[in-house]
Amino acid sequence: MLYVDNKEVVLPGMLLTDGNYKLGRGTFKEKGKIYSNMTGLVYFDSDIVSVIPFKNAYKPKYGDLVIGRVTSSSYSSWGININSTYQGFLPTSELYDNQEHNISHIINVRDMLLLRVSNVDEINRVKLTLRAHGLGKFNQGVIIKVKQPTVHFLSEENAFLTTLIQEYTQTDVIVAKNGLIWINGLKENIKNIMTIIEFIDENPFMHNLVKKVQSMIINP
Amino acid sequence: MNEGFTLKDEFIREDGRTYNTLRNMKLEVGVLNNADGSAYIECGNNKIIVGVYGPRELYSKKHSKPDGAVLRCKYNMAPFSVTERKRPGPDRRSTEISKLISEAITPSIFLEKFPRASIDISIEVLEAEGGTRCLGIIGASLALADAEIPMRDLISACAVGKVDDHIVLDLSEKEDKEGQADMPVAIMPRTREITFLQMDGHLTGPEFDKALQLAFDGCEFIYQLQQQTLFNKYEGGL
Repeated sequence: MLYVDNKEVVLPGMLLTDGNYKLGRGTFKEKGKIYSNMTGLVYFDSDIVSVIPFKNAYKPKYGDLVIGRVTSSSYSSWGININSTYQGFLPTSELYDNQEHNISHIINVRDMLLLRVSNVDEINRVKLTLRAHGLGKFNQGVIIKVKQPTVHFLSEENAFLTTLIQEYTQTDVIVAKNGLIWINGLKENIKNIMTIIEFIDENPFMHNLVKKVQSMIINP
Repeated sequence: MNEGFTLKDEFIREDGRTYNTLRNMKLEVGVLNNADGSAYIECGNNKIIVGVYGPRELYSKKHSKPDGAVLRCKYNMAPFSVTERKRPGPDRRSTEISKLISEAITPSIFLEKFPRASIDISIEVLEAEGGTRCLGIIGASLALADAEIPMRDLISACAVGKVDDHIVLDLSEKEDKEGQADMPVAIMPRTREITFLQMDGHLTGPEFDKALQLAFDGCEFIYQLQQQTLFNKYEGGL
């Protein structure tokens, strides 16, 4: 039996269901009943129940594409702020170039990098990697910060929108999982995209958002 | 003129409330932009603002725990919060209240989800008129829910006490000072678990049971207010 409707706002400790569901994100089980553990929207899928928070911070997962800022460098690694609870680290062994003695020529504090999460261990240490196609340092472009629902909207639910934006405005857009979006192109196009993304960020759960965004892209 | 008409056996308190009435209460969430979560409470003449930061990585290895987050709580009274100017800065009383609020809140949070991290709560009392520790707990719990930190339940709290041989709910400052007993209680309303209970003064066994029952009733009412407040925040935006 369900005690709340699908896509309803729930609060911590609210009873969701006592049916035979699997636990998704934002839920916990007590005495055979499933409760929500945070404020958010509840989603019942075929066999899994999850609560999607409105603004919750990014939680790193293996394989995620992230944009990070180098905040510290030490003997064997760089500390990288990935817009999450925990700092990530990028070992120097990730660099291809073994000949360069002064590695601060390649990566230095305050650089913005495009990275992938290569491992998250049980105490949430986030190991990052540069060794994949297309990863590396940003030299130009604009980076904006958005909330998690926007990322979900642009990268999972409606990933075609990102392609649509890129085609219509001839810009490059990279939506990283940690809530940072990189845009590169002509100045007025960037401005345009930023207003669209801000609009999504303000109303991520709006009815018919896809259509509205589509029309915004096509007739700016 | 109405002398003969008043209910003789009903005890009316100094501020006109009956034994089981709470003071007027106003709750708000999301009042601060820079904090991850925040809440503002007015209750009687109390004004309290609560901000939550975190969970964020704790750099001091000495204080961080490898198996869970550290909950740090800071209760502070503004110098202008009381009639006689309070000397600013931490004192014995605020240190104690900080500790007991963090202990009252701890059972409700899934701290084990955030190893090596810390969650910081700061409670600022702008105006005080009795019962700030309970309101601090209510506000902290609301602000944590606003920050979307995983919790088992919201925590609700209120004080009961004994004034002029009557058990009463939600004591004001005067009743607290002149009354015979004062007992703040915090509970998790879903499971009806008590997370915090203190008592000053004297209550007999039956009186204690009655007081505890009254506190549960009061807490459950406040719980509904808390839920309503959080719902209201999202109503317009969806």
